[in-house]
Parts: sequence; C-alpha cells; structure tokens
Amino acid sequence: MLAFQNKIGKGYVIASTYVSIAITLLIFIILFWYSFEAFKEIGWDLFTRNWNPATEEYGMLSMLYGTLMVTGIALLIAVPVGILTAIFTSEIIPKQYRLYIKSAIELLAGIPSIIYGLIGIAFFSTWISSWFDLASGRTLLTAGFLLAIMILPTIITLSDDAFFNIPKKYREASKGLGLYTYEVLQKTIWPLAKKNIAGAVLLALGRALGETMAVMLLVGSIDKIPDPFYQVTSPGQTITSKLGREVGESAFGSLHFSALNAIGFLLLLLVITLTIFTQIYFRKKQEVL
Amino acid sequence: METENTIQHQPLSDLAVTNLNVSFSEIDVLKNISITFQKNKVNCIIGPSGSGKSTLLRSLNRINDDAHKIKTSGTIHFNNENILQKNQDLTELRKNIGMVFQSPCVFPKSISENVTFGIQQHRKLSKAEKATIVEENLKKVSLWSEVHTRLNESGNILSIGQQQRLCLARTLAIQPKIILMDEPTSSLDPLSTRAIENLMVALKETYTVILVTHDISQAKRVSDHVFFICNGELIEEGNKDQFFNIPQKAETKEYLKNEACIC
Amino acid sequence: MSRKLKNNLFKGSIYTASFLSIAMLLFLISTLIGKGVSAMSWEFLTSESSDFGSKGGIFYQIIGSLLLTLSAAIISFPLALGMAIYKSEYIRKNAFQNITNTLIYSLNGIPSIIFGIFGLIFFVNILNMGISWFVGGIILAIMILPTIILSSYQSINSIPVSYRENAASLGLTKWQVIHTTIIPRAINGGFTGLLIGLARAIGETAPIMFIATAFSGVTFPNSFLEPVSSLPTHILALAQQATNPQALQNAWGSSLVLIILVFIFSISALVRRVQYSKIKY
Repeated sequence: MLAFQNKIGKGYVIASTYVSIAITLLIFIILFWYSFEAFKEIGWDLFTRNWNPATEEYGMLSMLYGTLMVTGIALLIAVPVGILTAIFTSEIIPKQYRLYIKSAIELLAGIPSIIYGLIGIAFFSTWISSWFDLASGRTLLTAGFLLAIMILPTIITLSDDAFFNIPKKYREASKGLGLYTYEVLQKTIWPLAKKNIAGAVLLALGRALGETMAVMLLVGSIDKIPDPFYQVTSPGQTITSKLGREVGESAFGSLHFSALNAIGFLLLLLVITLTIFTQIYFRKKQEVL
Repeated sequence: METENTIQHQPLSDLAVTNLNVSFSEIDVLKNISITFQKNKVNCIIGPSGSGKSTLLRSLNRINDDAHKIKTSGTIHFNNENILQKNQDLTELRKNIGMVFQSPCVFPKSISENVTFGIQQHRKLSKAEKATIVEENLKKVSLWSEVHTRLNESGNILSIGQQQRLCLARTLAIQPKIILMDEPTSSLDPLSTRAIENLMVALKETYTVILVTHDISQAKRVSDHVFFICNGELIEEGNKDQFFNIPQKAETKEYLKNEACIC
Repeated sequence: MSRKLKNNLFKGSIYTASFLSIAMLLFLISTLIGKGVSAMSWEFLTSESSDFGSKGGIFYQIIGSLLLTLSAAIISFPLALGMAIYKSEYIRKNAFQNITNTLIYSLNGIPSIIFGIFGLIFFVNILNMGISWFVGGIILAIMILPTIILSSYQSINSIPVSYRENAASLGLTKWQVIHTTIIPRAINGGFTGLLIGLARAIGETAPIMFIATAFSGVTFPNSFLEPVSSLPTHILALAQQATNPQALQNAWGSSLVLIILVFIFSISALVRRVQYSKIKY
C-alpha cells in the first residue's frame, strides 16, 4: 500500500514537471514550425521595408524599427524618472511612509495593459496631437510614452529595493567625510546599487518588448519607418502591434500567417535571449558576492 | 581483555559496526570504525566536537544518505543483516532504530498528533488505539501529568525541555528496538537535562540506547559502556567504571582530564 | 559648476521626477475611479451588452472573465505544485536544476501575444477545439505556471531541514514525508502565487482574444468548446469605438470593474505574504 502511494506520488510530480517542460518546448517548436514556410519562401526579404499581404511582400523592417524605437523612448523616459523617484522613496521619505507608497506603486504595476491603452486613447493621444499639432495622436511617441508609464512602477520598486538594501554605514561614512548628498549617491551608493538596477532595467526592457495591447492601440499601425527616421511624432508599427492586429485576420496556414509567425518567432527569440541573459547576469552576481 | 569483552558482548548485541569509513566531499570523517553496541544498555559515544560522533550515529539509521557527496563503506549489522546494502528498506530500518535529535523538532500539530505522527503512517489506527498510544508514551517520558489536560493544544506551547520529551515520546511510539540520541540535552536547561537523563536510564530496560554527547559528566552519570571517538577513529572503549577510572590510552586520559584532543 | 549647485540641481531633479511619478499615479487613480464610477450602476453590472458593447451592461463579460480565471486556476495549480515538489525533493544534480530554472524563467518571459498565437495554432486548429473558453483557461494556466511554481518552491525551501529528517527518522517513506511535511506548505505558498498569477491573468487580452472570446452575442457557454466574452476584450472593442461617448463611458465602467477584480486578487496575495512573513519556525 505504502509503496503504491509512493509510486503515485512520484508519478504525479514527475508527470507535472515533464508536462511543464514539454509545453515550453512546444511553444517554441510550434512557432518555428509555422514560420518555417515564411523563412523558406521569403528568406532575407523579411528584412525589407514593405509589408503588403496582397502583393505577398512581407518586409518587417518597419516593425523592427518601431519596436526598438518605442522601447527606446519608454526606457529613455522611465529609467531616469524611475531611478530618481526610487532615490526619493528609499533615501528621503521617512520609513513609515515608504511601505505605503511602495504598495501604491506596486498596485499600479497590476493595472492591465488594455486599460493603459484606453487611457492613452482617451487622454494622451489627444494631448500629443494638440501639443505637436498632428493629424493623429497615434504615434510612436505616444506608444513609447504609455509604455514608459507602464514600466515605471517596476523600475521604481526594484531600484528602491536596490538602494534600500545598501547598509546605512556607507552613507554615514561618506557624509562624515563632508560629502554632499549628490556626491554620496554618485560615488558611494551608485556603484553598489548599479548591478541590481541594471537588472531592474533589463526586466523592464523585457516587459516593454513584449507589451501588446497599449502599443497596438496607440502606435498608429502604419507599416512605415518615419521620414526622417527620428520623427517619432509620426505613426509607426511594432511587432506586437502587428501581431495583435493581423493574426486574427490572416488565413490559417497561408504565407501571410507564416510571415506573422516568423516575426513572432523572432520576437520570442529576442525576449527569451534577454530573459536568459538576465538570469545568468543575476546568477553571476550572486557568485561574486 | 579484548577477547573477554567480545565473548561477553556478542549474544547481547543486535547492532554491530565493522570497518566503517565515511567521507564527505573527499574528507575522511570516520576511519575504520568497528563497534559492537550492547543490548539494553546505555551506550555512550563521547569525544570532542568534529570528531565524527554524530556522523557515526547518523550512519546507524542512514539518515546521512542525502548528505552532500557522502561516501560510506564497511558494514553495519542489525539483526544479522547489513543495513548499508543498497536495497535496504530504509523505512523498515527506521521503524526499528529511532532517533532523537539535538534540537527538539515539534511539528506544527497538537501534542497528541505529534505523538502519533510516526506510528500512524505505519498502520491504520483507530481513535481508541491512538488515545492509548498517546497516554502510554507520554507516561513513559513522564510528560503525561503535565500535559494530559491540553493534548489538543499545539506542541509549540511546551517548554523546550518538554518539547524534547515529546519528541522522545514520538520516537517511542513507533516501538523501535534501538534509540539513537544525538546530544539530546545540549539545548536544554539543567533541570530538563536531568529529566532526560533519568529517562535514558529507565529506557534501557526495554530499549538499547546509543547516546552521543560531548558532556563528559553526563556520560559519567548515565552510561554503561563508553566509546571514545577522536578525529574519526575509535580510540578506546570500555564499561563505565573501567573507562573513567582506569583509561588506557594517552589520548583518553588527556580528553578526560582536560577535554582536549591530542589525536 | 560648484559642488553646491550640482547638489541642488540633483535634489531638484529628484523632486521633479518624484512629483511626476506621484502625479501620474494620482492621475491614473482619479481617472479610473472617477470616470468608472460615473458609468456604474446595478443595471450595468447585471445586464447584457448590446450594439458591440456601446449599449447595455457587462454581466456576461464578468461571468466570462471569472470562468476563464477559474479554469486557469484549476488547471495550473496541480501542475505547478507537482513541479515545485519535484524540483525541491527529487532533483539532486545541479545541471538539471539550472535547466528547469531556465525553462521556468523563459516561460515567464514569453510575451502574451505569443501565447495567443500558440493557442490559436495548437489548440484551436491542430487539436481542432475551436474558439473555446476552455482553451482560454488552458493558455492562461500556462502563462501563470511559473509564478505559482516559484511561489510554491520558495515556500518549500523555507521548511527547515530538521522537519524532513525528523519525519524520515520516524520511518516514513519519501512520499509520506512529502505528504505530511511538505505539501501543506507547498500548497500555502502556491496559493499565494496563484492569486498573483490570477491578478495578471484576468486582465490579459492578447492570449485570449483570438482563441477564447467573441465580441457579441455571447452569453453563458453550454459546453467546454464555446467562446465567452471577457472584460479585457470588451474594453478593447469599446476602446476602438472611442468616438462614441456611450461606448467610452462603458469602457471606463468595465475598466473599473476589471481593476477591482485585479485588486481583489493582488491584495489577497499581499495580505497572505505579510501574514506569512510573520510566522516563525
């Protein structure tokens, strides 16, 4: 009886593990399988500018550009604001308030992305279109801006943890030497917190790359690279936005579908590489400590 | 001298260690240990910390098996079977050889549930049987009078001395033949220590007790037979009077006098 | 630039940044609550939607969302628990631990739209299950698996080694040790992870929008293989009619309801984590 129970128990945990592993691998395999046709038929032409299913042109360059640009804008805004705010919450606010503010910020991180998309449509796109005098407020800049708001809580919370976990003695020693707050932070605290904050940024980057709904609603969904390329107040396209809009529309099994899978697969590779890199980065850090 | 001892002990033992070598991560912890434990006596293993006494004890019920990079060789005979063999049924082994650990580990359950924790995994027990077992074993450890009105309360409310006695009761409940005790009183106050020591002496009527301790005076109080382990080797053994009054080896004398190890 | 000036500039930037962050926080909260409340009414919560959502209420959307999250919970919990136990009790070799860790973190990082595509290909088409809420539940379950595994695993890890040793030395078999000392804790930690995962799952649009939901005419499904509607996809549909003020108002109302549900999950998880950190062993 006992041996039997033992066997069932062991069987259950082994089965669960293998199912989980199988699913992860399956996702990769399926995506690759269904993008294979596109890689074969289209090959390097995937990296051209024009995306037109009607003429069987599947160039993803504008999506790649859009993804990088939107993510770049998001990081450009969120990283400095986030880190500075984290300094505020970890160094300046009295301890008893810190937990409340942190919890409030963490709750923000839980707001679903579709709601950010709604807010973007209702407010930010109108603001940006009137501020920059544009025909439409759906631009790369708008999407980047919303994305910044979405990743801000993550950066704030994790950077705050990074700063907070540095022992008091470092600050006291530096202040005792007559350093100004800015200098204490730059010369003493920052070198110690750097690695953890880099980790936080990597995490936020991963999220930003994979974000779909808000970007889809706000980026404009025009498959073009703006001219000049730095004009972020024009509409554009990202990989996730493209997938969100067209996967439902394309015929299953067609070349169109395969091309969409292909860009999805590339995104997947990008994000997973980033994730694994982050994981190794953190593991190395532990070893050094 | 040795021959006499061997002839006297053989019929009165069911646990014998022969040429036991244990190493952790390539470092030898026990070297060629051969010991025959005496039945229905308090067998006391003494020695300085780090000498390998706990490792020896933990090899007897093979609780060491999961330790990191451990290598064991030699034989340990219990009831004429070598329990170090690969296909030894560990659960059967531990039903016969019970262990009390240094820090009392009371499970987050009630007092009575703690007592029956082990035995009820071995076989189905009715409510009445459980109650009997609880009462019997708590009485054996002299805890019954103190807790019988609060059997359903969590084990955590007990003092640490009471907790250790509870752990002993739990071990007795599975009806082992041999009880291993790994420095059971080192985290207890003197009063609780005495209580446990009295129990050890009382228990030997029914069980074989193997005790590891670094406290020489405790060994003097409770032991019948003493084994001195230093630096992984068995230096000397003997019955109590012999050992403490006329130790033979220089290392033993040094340890008994100054608690120092010159091995 | 003098040191003092630098310092003041720095302080200034800290306050500016924090002000912006907090202002954003307040803006979001006040908008969502303010606009949401004005759309709220008993009818809104209990009536069916019509005209692609710009009229009517969100009753079936709420039901759909709850159905999806419930099925995700039932499917993911035992799987995650099993894997957490396997990872902590059965795997000895470091190499295998690293592989499983990598897989778990990879699964966690996969963008939600990719889950949607995977679901579309594998379940809807290959397995021919069609657009169904059950598939939606499966996909959401896969998505939150890592969260539950990690939470459960952390909980198991906090069990002192002495528990296992004491149980084992009483003559318990490996599974008995797991069953009596480890599973209760694993379930406890796993449940907290489940709440965190559900908080995320209930708000997700991309994984379910092509595989589980339809935008109109859906009420309570009659079988496993029928679509449902859900709050996030409903908000998506409404957001795309943003020029219609009624639609927009309903979007705010739906958003408020969705956020309340998300917060119920995440606050429960938070409370459990705080309680848990107070327990001493």
